[in-house]
Amino acid sequence: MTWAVVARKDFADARRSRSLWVLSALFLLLAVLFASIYAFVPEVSADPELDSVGLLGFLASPVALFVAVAALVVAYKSVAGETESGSGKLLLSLPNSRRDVLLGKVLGRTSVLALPVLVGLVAMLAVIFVGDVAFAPVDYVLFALVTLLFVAAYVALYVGISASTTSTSRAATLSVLVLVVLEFVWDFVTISVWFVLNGFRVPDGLFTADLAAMPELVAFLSTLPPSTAYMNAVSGVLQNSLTGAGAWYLSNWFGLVVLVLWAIVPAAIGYRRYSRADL
Amino acid sequence: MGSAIEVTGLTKHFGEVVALDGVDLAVEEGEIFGFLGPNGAGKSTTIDTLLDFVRPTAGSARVLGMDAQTESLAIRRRVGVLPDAYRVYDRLTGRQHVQFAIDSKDTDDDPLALLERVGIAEAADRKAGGYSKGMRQRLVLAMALVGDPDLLILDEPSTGLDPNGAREMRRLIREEADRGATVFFSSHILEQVEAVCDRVAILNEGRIVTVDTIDGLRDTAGSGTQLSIRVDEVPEGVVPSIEVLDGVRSVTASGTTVTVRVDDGSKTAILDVLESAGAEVLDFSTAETSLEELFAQFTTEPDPSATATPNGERAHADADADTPEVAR
Repeated sequence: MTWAVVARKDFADARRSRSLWVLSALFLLLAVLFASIYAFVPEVSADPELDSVGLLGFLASPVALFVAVAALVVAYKSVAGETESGSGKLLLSLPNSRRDVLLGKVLGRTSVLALPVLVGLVAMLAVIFVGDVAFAPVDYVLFALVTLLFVAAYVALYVGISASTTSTSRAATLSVLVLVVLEFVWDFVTISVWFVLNGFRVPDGLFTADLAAMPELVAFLSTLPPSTAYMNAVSGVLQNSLTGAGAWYLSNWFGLVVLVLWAIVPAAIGYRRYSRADL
Repeated sequence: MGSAIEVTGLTKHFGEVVALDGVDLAVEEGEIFGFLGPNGAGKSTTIDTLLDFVRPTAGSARVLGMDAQTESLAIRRRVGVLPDAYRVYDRLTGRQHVQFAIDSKDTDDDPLALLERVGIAEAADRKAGGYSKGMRQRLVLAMALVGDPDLLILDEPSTGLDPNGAREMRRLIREEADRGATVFFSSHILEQVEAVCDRVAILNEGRIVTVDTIDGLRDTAGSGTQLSIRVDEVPEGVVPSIEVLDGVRSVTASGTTVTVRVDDGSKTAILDVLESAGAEVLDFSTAETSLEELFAQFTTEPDPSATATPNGERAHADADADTPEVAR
């Protein structure tokens, strides 16, 4: 079991890449910008009382999009790139199993992306104190933990894709496709399913996206993308209401389960293909 | 003595391409074994199979008595590898590379001592992305030496090294063998193998064509003679009629020169065939076959555009001189 060795090597390598620094700067900018908008533009926050819980709720959506895209940049080449360039031969000539490589990559690249996210969250504290926003430390830590799980889920997804092919260009294409489907097209998918289930007639509440009017299956489908699962989990954690209304699989805590599944299933499929491939 | 490497009926197809076609090979413990063949012969595919990078279509490979596929991890703990077509991590230093190998193998080697051994200690803390090809080769060799492996697998170790570096590489290979390690290394250049190997195998187009000691190969090589006959014009269909003569091993024709390898037998008969086919013999020379030619012969199909260049001792004679062979 040398996955920790691989992860450390991978982190040491990626740490020196320019893209990590660009990402860190971007996330820092994003976090401070959104925090400042929340703290200093009352029209936006719409909260009578500014507190860090409100801020984090406000922040979850841009964070989700940032992580979805940044994880792609950080991870799409992780395994396929090593295979394609030949550095994978160094990695696997040593007593590292292919499972060690995959686990190490997930861990290493998760750390790479977790670093700027944590730096951003810490930097935001400055805005919170300057802007006189009430600070709830426990919620802040919980938000950070859920965000780290979300980072791990997206990184593992892209590492899984990267492991399923030996070509970086194919890994890039697949990753972008998956990103677009999960982040931008998914609403259309659920609406289509709803439309079909409704006997090809426009159901009531389709255009208002009225969750209450949705059949449970459709509602469940809509909660599946990692970002939605993350938002659900965040609002559950921040509002201390993990249960929520409706079926158990529609509750907020199920968002955590969905995130864990995203962190495991695609990587497992990628591992299966990787473990059988001629390198 | 057991076998350090034992390959049986190894076959590998990549789609339609047959990379290995029933390779049998046994490398004894403690020997320096050269794995020779032209580029594309299947040397790297064989090595990739030993390391479980590539899974055989048929046949099996055992390394240090363990199955190359099911026990790959245990094998790689005891083997040091210099792969071909690898790439170093541009952003990591030389020291970090060696340290990574040390951590992967869980040994307590000193990275600097290993880098010292391969002669790049002064570059230990520079990023490997800035290394020359030769320095990278030395770096990866240092990684291969981590943990005093029982078996070193070196794929084209002299790639990118200058003559001095190649000499140091051979010295290191000998040192490792003296320590008791088995060394298995591939090359497409005979002279690198010739200088250090106990035994060699020659691989061509996915098949082993011969396994022998260097001395054994020399004997084989020395027994043949090569005739180069210059004529005014090579008559059509003359090559097959020479091939059927007694003692003739191969015939190639290129331009106005016919090259014939014979064991012994009558050289006159060959000239007779040529002349009766209507050619005028202008010039004629014989040479002992060198090891180089033997290698070329093992690894090239009879190709009318290619003739071996004799670089053994030349016995030169004009066609109209009174040497016995030319006397008519």
